[in-house]
Amino acid sequence: MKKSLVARLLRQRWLQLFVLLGMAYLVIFNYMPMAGIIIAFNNYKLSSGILGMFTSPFVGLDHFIEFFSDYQIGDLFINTILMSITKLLFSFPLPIILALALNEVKNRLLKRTIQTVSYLPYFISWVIVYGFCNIMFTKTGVINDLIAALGGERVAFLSNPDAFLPLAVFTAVWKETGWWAIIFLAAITSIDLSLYDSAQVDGASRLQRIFYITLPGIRPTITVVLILALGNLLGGGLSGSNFEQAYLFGNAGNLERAEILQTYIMKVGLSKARYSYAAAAGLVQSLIGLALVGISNFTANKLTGEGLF
Amino acid sequence: MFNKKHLSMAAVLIIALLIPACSGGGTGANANVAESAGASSQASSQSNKNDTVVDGYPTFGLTPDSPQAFDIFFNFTWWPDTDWDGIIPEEVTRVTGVSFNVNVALDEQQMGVMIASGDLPEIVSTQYLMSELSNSELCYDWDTLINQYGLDWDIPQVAKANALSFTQEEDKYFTIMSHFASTEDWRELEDYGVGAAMTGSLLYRRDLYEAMGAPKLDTLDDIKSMLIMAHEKYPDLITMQFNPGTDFWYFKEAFGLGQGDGQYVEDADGNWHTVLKDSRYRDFLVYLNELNRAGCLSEDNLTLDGTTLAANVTDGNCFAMVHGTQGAAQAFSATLQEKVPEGLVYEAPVVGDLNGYYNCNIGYLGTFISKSCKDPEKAIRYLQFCHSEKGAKLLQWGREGQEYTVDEKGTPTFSKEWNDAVAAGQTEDIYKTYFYLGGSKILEAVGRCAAFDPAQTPNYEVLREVYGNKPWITYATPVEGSKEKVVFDKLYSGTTSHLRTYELKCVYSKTEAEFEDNYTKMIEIADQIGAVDLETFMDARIKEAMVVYGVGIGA
Repeated sequence: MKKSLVARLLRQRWLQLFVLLGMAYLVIFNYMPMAGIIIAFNNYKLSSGILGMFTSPFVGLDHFIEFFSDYQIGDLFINTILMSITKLLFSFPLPIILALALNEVKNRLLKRTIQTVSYLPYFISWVIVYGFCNIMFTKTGVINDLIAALGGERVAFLSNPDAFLPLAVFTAVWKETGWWAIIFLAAITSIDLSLYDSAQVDGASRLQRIFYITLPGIRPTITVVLILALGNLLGGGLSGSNFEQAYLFGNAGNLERAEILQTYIMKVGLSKARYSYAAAAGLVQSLIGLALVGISNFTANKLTGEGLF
Repeated sequence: MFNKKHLSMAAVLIIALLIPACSGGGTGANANVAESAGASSQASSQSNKNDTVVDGYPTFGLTPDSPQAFDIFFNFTWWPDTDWDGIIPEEVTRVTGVSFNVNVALDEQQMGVMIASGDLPEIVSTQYLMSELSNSELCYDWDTLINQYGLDWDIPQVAKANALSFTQEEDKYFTIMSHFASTEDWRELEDYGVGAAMTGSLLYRRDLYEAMGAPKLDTLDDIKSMLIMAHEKYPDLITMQFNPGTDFWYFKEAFGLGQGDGQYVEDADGNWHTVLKDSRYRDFLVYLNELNRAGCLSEDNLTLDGTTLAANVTDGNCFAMVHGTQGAAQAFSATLQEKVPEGLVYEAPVVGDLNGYYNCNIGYLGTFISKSCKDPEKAIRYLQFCHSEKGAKLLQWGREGQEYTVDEKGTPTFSKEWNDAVAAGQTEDIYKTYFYLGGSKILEAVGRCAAFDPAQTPNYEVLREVYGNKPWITYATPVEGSKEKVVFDKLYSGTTSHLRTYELKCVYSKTEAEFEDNYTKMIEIADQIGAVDLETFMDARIKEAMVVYGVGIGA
């Protein structure tokens, strides 16, 4: 058995080299930096160099205690989770709905045009998206001009805390829906067409075909995408980076809703050179992310019999 | 499979890769440049070097036949000079051989990330994170460089004390701040008879103000009445906006709180208290909130950058703007008149509590020589040039005999071209006066204001009489790594600090009840963060700092 494995590996040595490169990447950039977690438990200063990560004074859980006793901690968790879940609630079903709708469009030109127009925003950076919004959503911008023309009162969309989340969801959905719809469209194309023919012969309506053939046909894809989205829930799930959105759209006016864990770590930790504190806060966030992956995978396994592991 | 030839080739390759890797790691390689130059054999040539003069400028060893280009990073998003060209930079390069590849910060977090990554440009100029940069791992300390290269530079004790106030390493200073001016220094402006400190001003549309009947502007209430009247008469204009750099300065000063860079205020008994709980601070918040509730402010102010806000003024879309002194009115007028020919921008008079017109400044710009600097000797010699009188005048006033001449008192008269550029707001397009690195606030004030129309800048003479500096407040800022610094930063540092967040919440509250709620929360949360203990700590520390500057008990 052993011999045959070695023989197989030798035979595949050039192909295995590619695997090794991938593994080396993972080890160097994903696993080795984990050693840096140690600074969350000591008082690391940049002046002590790389070795200082291991020799700095041990402070136990001090940074975690400070983090959890920060007066903003409640708002930070609420904002992070609220932003993540709200975006997921909208950005997860919409690409599926768009894919199902596009699949029903028989005019190829119309279908391709909608597809192209809907996924183009995906390639626009958040900085540019913010630039658009800054022109459109200010109190003197076109949206407010429209509201005023209709007799409404102008709204400070960009600095009002209550407007932050709707704006974040709206821009995320606009930017990402078209792109994710392609994934689901690809899954739909793999469904056996004879199923549709049979259903049609049996008199199934268009909606019945969607609910009884298309949706079950793409269920594995939906499950995998959902688990991946939940795994990266705090990062933004399917709908782009929470950090970029909160960082760009956040300002002194809406900070009470726009400040999330990632921007807090950046501002209080990194940019004030409090690396140990930043590491502690980052570790908490990673643990929450890990727990979410585990829970979502467990739930998916229970409900659908499918999961990542 | 592998023969000796292959193995030896591999060995050579590994060694070739390792040599630069071992020697090129930022600090190592460049530290050698500095250390090797400190040899005693060079001592005799150093004194000659220190005496070099090029075209009347003492250049401290720098000569045009030995050019050097440095990468420099200005940690200010609004920095106006982004290219090393124009009359002043070209003259500087002509006499010193030094030039710069200029980089300007994209946002206020960039510097922190650069420090974290250890990837610093050769020269860093900043007003923030100076404590983090005052670190031997990242930057050269100046005493070491001055001694190693035998510079003849007697740095004033107060300048060293300013830099030592934020250093991470005892007795090592890593920069000398530009533009430090004590209260006594500010009095020099009275001798010049021109200029005023760079502080808060309220720019307003004089043409529209006159159309409103030119109401009197003697008190804070007068200012408020004018703004409310302007809002009612010109509802399509933004009544008042704030420049991000100068923010609420004008009003904070008028309420007796200083420019806003000091977080502690002194009571009648000489004790220091947090500004958060000071009754004048509450009055200031109430005043601005009333203006907000009267419709004079716009929340959009929080989302727009300085360029867009300035365009609101020059496009004729804004009635008033809190800005800086020293020329803004004249420059804004010139640009405004391209679109609104009758448009005129004036500075409102100095009003309110004259004791409030001060800053807490230990200097403005800290320039650091990072360990990635390819030639630290030239860098430190260039900084000596910038801090010299001739160098500072060249960098801030241009070439003597061409841009300016001086009378026996030293008061400059600027050329027509210079004055025209100032009036048109084109100084930075033509001359580039922001590359000072060293420099003096007094020279800057005189240079920027020499060509002003006095009508546009009323009662600068009042500012010349009353303006002061309380550097001990900034000096007393807790040191990096202390638990007090953590509390201090949470309460006061940066645009996301507790003070800043709640200051804006209070100002932009929509009702009086909302204001009261926000004000109460501001105090409660400050205490929760640790404001009470910090106040006790800061009271003692400020009193100690006052002694350093020769004021207060024990000085």
